[in-house]
Amino acid sequence: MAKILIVNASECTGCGACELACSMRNVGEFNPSRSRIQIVSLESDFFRLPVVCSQCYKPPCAAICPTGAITRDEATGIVEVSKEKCDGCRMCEEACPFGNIFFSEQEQKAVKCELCGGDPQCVLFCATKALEFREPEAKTAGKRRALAEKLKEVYQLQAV
Amino acid sequence: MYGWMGTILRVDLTSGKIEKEPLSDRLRLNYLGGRGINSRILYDSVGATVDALSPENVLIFGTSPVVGTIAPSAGRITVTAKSPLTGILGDGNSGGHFSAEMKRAGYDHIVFTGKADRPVYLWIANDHVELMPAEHLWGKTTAETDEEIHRELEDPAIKIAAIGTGGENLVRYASVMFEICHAAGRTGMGAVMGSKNLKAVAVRGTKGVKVAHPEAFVRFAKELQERIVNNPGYKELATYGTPCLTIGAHSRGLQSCKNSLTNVWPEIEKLDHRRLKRDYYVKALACTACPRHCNQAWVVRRGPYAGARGGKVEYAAIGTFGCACLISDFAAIAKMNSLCDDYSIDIIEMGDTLSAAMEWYEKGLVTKDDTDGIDLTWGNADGAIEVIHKVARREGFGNLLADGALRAAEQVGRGADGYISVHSKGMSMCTADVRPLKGYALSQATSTRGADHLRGGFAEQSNPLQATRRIYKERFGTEEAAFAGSYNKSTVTVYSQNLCTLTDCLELCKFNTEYGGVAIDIKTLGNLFSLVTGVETDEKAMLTATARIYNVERAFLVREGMTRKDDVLGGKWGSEPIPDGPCKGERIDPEKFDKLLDEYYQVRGWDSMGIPTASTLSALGLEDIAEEIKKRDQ
Repeated sequence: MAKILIVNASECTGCGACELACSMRNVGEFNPSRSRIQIVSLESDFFRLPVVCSQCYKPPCAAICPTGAITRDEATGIVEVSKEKCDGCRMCEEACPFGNIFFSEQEQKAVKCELCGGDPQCVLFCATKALEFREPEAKTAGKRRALAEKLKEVYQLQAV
Repeated sequence: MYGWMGTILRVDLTSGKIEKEPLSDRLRLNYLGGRGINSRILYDSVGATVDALSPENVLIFGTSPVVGTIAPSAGRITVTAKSPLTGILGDGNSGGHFSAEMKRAGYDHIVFTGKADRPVYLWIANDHVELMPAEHLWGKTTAETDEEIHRELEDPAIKIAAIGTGGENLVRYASVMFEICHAAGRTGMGAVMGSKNLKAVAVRGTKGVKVAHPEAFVRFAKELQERIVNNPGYKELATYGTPCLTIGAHSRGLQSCKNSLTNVWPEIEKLDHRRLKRDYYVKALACTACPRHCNQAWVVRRGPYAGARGGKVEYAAIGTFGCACLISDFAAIAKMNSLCDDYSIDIIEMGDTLSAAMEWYEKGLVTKDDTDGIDLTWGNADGAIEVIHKVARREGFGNLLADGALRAAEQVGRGADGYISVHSKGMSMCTADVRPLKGYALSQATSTRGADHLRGGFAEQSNPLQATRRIYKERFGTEEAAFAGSYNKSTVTVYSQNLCTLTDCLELCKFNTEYGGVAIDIKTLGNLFSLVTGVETDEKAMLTATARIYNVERAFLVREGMTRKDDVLGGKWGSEPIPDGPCKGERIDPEKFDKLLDEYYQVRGWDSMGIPTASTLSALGLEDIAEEIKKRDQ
């Protein structure tokens, strides 16, 4: 099973290393505004959420694309944009419910996370494991485990 | 050009004129960035006759060639001006994300001159730079200002530096607050901002930062990140923030309490970082590209201070408001912390001034008649909170304290200055007692911005490991320097000051260097600088550059009249032994310290009065300064 990018929002410190790593890997400069992964900060609530393409099984961006530029590689699970075929119509921006594919002014093409071809740099630089690159089961399994840890605390408190 | 963006933004607040000036090779190659370039611009722009709160003072924001890259913690900023607190070099250094944003807008430095005729804020969106009216923001807290500007400019990604009432009312130790909770705290830079009617700076940048050797740089940045994360001290700081330092300092006898009347305070247990995490912390947050995430956002959920919240409470607040004032309720300390952030007031100077005032109150030097009826008994948090409000508003007793501990002591008279814990060149410092750490003490006494813990000094052990002794011998010429209590500290102190200077020039965090126990030294930082800028360098060249910058700063102090007599620790730490606890009896021996000062001057290449010699200055390419000093002497 192909690995996926897992976001553990509670661990994100908002340091922005993922955006810097991404932009350097993909556009050759440190520039969060051109990063394929974007941290959303809700400042007053101390909440930080890295938002990034989840490589959908049935990508709406691909479904809407009039030139067939967006395809999903069955083996790797990566949803890719063909630079040759993309004509910059921006309908994919419209179709994606999460804002994870967007038009690059500099490149005049739609861009999105393509998992750095299987070695995502954002994950490499995430010091808190807010981002992980793992088998899909890890995502749900991790949540169940977190639930168990929390309940453990509750039960122990009651026992005291 | 790699690393630097290549532009200094000049804003004359008097005329409203905005100019973009190329960053000269002279500045970037000789003074690197951040604090270094700021200090040189200050030296060139502000003479001895200029009053710090007059329009003739300049206010400089400085990023660095490394800021905005993925190098760990490459996102700090230095704010520089002549200090209204000390009258000498003033600079405050802050973390957060503002610096990287300013860099991405295309500017390495911003230089403010003059004074606006009404309150303004500066709005920078890449090439667009505009002075905006700020009458409606005057009087608002930093948090309210941040919120209002975000609403006005309709972009949540904007980063904002602002002052609150403390800065507006020229509290001499007012800070500049970045993104509400990050302070350029020291030396009163917020008062300079206030004196210029500059309420805030809002910045948004979408340009990229380019580096000379991208692949090697990214690899090296990752390696440095590993060094930081694998360091034994990492986990504590990442989990608890700097409050994790309090209990350790206390158990080693290094935590000054009750305005230095004691180093033993059993109630400190209530401020144990593990309790703070359990009861108050809600989220770890980090500055730009920093794996250490030592900011711990906190919320007070119950009790009289319920509803108080903030991005972080530092050791500095716990040490001063807590230990020095004997306030053991963390909620009260956190409340005081957030008030200082709202008003833009330096927590260290505020806490030291408060604890001195509490002792004046105890000893009868001030009474309720002087304090506007406020009860300043040790540990009275509500009294302390009332004082902070009054300081920010410069009201009654607050007006007295708003000028800092030393100036207030002069007004109080009757030897009130003798009750101040510690000061040098007009500034107090945080409450980690340096009396047992002679190198640290030397560093504070010779620091170019007055007493301050972030200017140098390593925290050596009283009985170091053999391995450490060997390393010290190799690097600093003597095993003795490895011992905390040794006075053989000239070379190691100069090195640590240079390391701190370089870290400030690159605008990185000192926790992520040897200063914080991580294996990142001057040579490593030199490599980083080279990979970013493409400028070939080595350890020697970096040492020369930092020495150059330190000498420019020293020359600024010399021009202001500072000499050997000012390179001392004033207050209790300079004259009294530690009264109790594990370090009982430890003191700064005046004769030995004087001899150490001689040795220090020798290593620095300064004469016996602490003035840089002509040959030292010339060797650093500072002939112009040598000439100026010569002229002054004639």
